[in-house]
Amino acid sequence: MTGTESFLSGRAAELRRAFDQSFAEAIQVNTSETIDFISIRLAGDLHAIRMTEIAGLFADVKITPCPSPVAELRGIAGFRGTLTPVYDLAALLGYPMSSGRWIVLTKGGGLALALDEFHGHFRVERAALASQQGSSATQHVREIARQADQALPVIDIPSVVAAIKARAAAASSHKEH
Amino acid sequence: MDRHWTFGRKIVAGFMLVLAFTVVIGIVASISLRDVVASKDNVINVNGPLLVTAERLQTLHEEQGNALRAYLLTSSSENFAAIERTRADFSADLDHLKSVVIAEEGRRMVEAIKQAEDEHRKVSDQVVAMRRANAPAQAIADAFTNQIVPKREPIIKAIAAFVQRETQRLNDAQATSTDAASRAIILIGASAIAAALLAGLVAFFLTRSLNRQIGAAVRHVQSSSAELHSAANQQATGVKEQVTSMSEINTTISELLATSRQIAESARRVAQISEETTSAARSGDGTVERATESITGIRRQVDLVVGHMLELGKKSQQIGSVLDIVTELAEQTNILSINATIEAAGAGDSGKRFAVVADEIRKLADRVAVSAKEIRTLIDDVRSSVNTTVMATETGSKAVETGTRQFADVATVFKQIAKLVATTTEAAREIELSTKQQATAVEQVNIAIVNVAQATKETEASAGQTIQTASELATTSRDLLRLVQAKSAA
Repeated sequence: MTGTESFLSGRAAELRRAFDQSFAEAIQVNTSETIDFISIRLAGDLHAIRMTEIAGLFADVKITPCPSPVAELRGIAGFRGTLTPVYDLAALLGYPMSSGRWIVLTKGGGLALALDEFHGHFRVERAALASQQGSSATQHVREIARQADQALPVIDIPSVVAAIKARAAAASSHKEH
Repeated sequence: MDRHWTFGRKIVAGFMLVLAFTVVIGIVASISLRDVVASKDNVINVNGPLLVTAERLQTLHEEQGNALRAYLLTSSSENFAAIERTRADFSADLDHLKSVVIAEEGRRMVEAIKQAEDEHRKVSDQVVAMRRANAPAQAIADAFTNQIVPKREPIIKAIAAFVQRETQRLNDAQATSTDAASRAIILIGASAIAAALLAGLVAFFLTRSLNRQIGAAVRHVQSSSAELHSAANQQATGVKEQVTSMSEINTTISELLATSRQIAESARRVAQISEETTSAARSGDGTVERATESITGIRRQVDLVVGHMLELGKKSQQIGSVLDIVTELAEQTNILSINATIEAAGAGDSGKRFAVVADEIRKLADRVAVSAKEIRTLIDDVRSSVNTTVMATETGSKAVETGTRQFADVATVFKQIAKLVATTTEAAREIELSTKQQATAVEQVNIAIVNVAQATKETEASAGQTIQTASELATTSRDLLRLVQAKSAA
């Protein structure tokens, strides 16, 4: 038996054991003050989004392009039976337009944000958050989450949604006039 | 005179020319003397006797007259006999003159004498008859005076005229003879002078030619002797160098002899080594054939390995496809767990337990994703290794194929080596034999060189002798040149 085969067998056994362990152990509800984030990558930089600010994560969703005065609008996609406008998050934050494979559905905003890469999930203590007084380029980032020796800017989704809606309203009013 | 004539030939030619002139002079002198002699003979034998006979006719006529007178006086028989005798002599002389005189004038004058004599004799006979008849003396005297005396005058005149003619002819002949003698003397003298001049000219030209030729030859001999001297000096120098070279050649040939022996020994060793090489080449040929068979087996195994590797690559690709599905499943699971967490968070307290489960599922999905990435890396490594192995194996297969061909070439080369080594062995033996022969030849050459060295020494001595001879020749040529050209030699 080679080293690679033993490694693979050991890894499979570990996974199987962890999976079985999760059913064997008693359910422990986390009572501490923690906050769940998903980490994403925009133009190569890691960012964090609060999971409480999004309604879902999707991949490879078909987006139908449609004309809009807002340049960051990639199109319209259907999520759980609802047509939702999809905006490019990187473009909204001042980065170049992304490929948009991954999409997060904002909670209560009625719109979705497309992004380059979903990196993963992480959970930090509330104390690990630090406020960020940003410039205009980081107007939607107000906190920094420290995780595994990294400082990830936390994107304020409601702020982004508000900005989109403001711009949409401005464009709509400009159109009506 | 031909320049290419020899010295003796020129002298002989000169002498022959002088001799020819001498002969010509002799012939001219002989002819002249003969003419002179003939003229004198004519004077002596013809004109002289004719004059003498003519004068004797006068004498006989006088004697006849005296005898007639005496007979007429004495009537003696003796006187009559004297008359008859003188008449006979007169007639004989006259007949002689008639037979001798050729000229018409002479013959006519002789005939006149004869007629006068006949008339005189006739008258005399008549008087004699009167005397015999004893006629009177007076009658006889008258008859004598009247008949005989008148008849005597014509005879005397005719004889005198004939004598005068013969005297004149004798004088003319004498003058002619004298002229011929004078001409002969002048001709002979002129011929002698001409011969002397010719001899002088011949001597002059012969001397000049000989001087020129001999002088040129002597100068040529001098030049040749100088060149011979120089050549002999060069020859002596060359011979000395040749002696030195011969010594060096002798040394070289000795070294060559030693080298030839070494070559023969080396050739023998080469032949021995070639035989060993031949057996080694044959053994190597068998080894190469076995190696070729082994390589063929290796090639088959390599082909099998390549096939297995390609199959392994395909399997790895299939595993990769399955792993893509696993990765996608893990990703979807992760998405679901995230979404479940989100939904659980929205469910309040009742969703907390579900959130825990979702969290576990998400962790599991993360691990699966991580493991899938690791497996992907491993599979990529495997596929890379398989590709590398396949490429290496194909390279090895090609190398084996090349090796097979090279082994075939090596086998061929080994066979060629065996043949060449056999040829080399034969050549080495021939070289050994040839080198031995060469050594023998070199020994002979060495002996020959020794002989040549000896001959060279003799040549050196000969060159010295040649130098001496050239010097003597130069001296002799100078002496000879001094003999033929005193000024030049001086």
